Amino acid sequence: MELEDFKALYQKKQLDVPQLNAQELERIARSRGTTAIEKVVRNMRLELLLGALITLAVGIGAFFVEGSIIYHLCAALMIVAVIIQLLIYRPVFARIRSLQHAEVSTTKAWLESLVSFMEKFVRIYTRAMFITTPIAAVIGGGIGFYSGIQDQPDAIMPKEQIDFHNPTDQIMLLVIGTLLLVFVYFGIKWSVKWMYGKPLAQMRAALKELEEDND
Amino acid sequence: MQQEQFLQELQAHQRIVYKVCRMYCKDADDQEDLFQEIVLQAWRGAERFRGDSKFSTWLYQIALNAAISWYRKSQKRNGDVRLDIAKNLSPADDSWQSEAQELQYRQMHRAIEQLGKIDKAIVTLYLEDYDYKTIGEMLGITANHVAVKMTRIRTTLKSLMEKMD
Repeated sequence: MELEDFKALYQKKQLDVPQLNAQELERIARSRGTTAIEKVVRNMRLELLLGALITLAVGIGAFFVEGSIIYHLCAALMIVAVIIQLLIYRPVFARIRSLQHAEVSTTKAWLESLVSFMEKFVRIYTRAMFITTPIAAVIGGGIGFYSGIQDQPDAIMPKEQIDFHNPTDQIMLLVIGTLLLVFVYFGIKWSVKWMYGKPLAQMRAALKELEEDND
Repeated sequence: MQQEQFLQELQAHQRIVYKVCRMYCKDADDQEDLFQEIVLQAWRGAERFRGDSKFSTWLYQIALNAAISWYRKSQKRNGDVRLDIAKNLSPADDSWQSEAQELQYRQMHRAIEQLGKIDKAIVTLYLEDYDYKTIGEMLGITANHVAVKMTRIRTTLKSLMEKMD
């Protein structure tokens, strides 16, 4: 059978489908979306919300721990981290708003804007994670160390056990630091690929299909 | 476009959404999810529909854009809406001239399902009698490129059909 023969039959035959009424269609129209963009937006909102909640929780906790400079420091750092995160994601949110008007453009323009957005988002997200995670680890370790030196009750270990001149401790620190870096590097790469890799690859493939003939 | 008017138009043209769903998804659950996604995208874009083109053309554009960029990430069902539409997405009448014709029709449909997302969009619009110029305008490529692609698609479909025999 040739495509033309198929077309003639295709046009003659009707699909046996239920006709949904206006109320049913409206109910569907008001449901939750499942596109890659929707997922990105939901993940971002969740991350920002969780960040703000943690900040609030730490701040409240610090308020109740009298005289603990460590907890006060933690609260302050968390607030700074959330502000930095909001600044980083601000342009991404602006792009999302503009993308919400792209659904009636040509398929090529639509795919280009989606791929461009996804690539930019993944780049910003990965960079932000690569920067903030080691900083958080160093700050956390620093606070613990400071606490130990000050011999405060919330120290990681008692003051007398801290000896950075001991080669074994130095190696241990180096190993832990390296493992942390490796874990952070591959962990972030894997999680980004797991969350956004496949939809992005599919959209790139579709765009390539459109661009091939232009070469 | 007013919401009420949009829903009326959508109701009248919902067959377009079903057709695209059937073309892009084999699995019944996927068809339902894609149906939901297309309706949702159309709903969001309704206020910007100015009537420059026919509603059916506008809906095809949105449906194909949504289908091409749609990605089903997990196996978990999106439980918001259950329509149970997909089981009925097959030709209703059984007025085939012969069993061979019916078989060939189904084989061709399976062959089209195996095409890439863009090729599938071109075939979908071609089957609806859109000319190459309009197809090109909808996809963002020239009519000439559509013609080139159609030639390749015909060759691919022929080859796929031969393999099925």
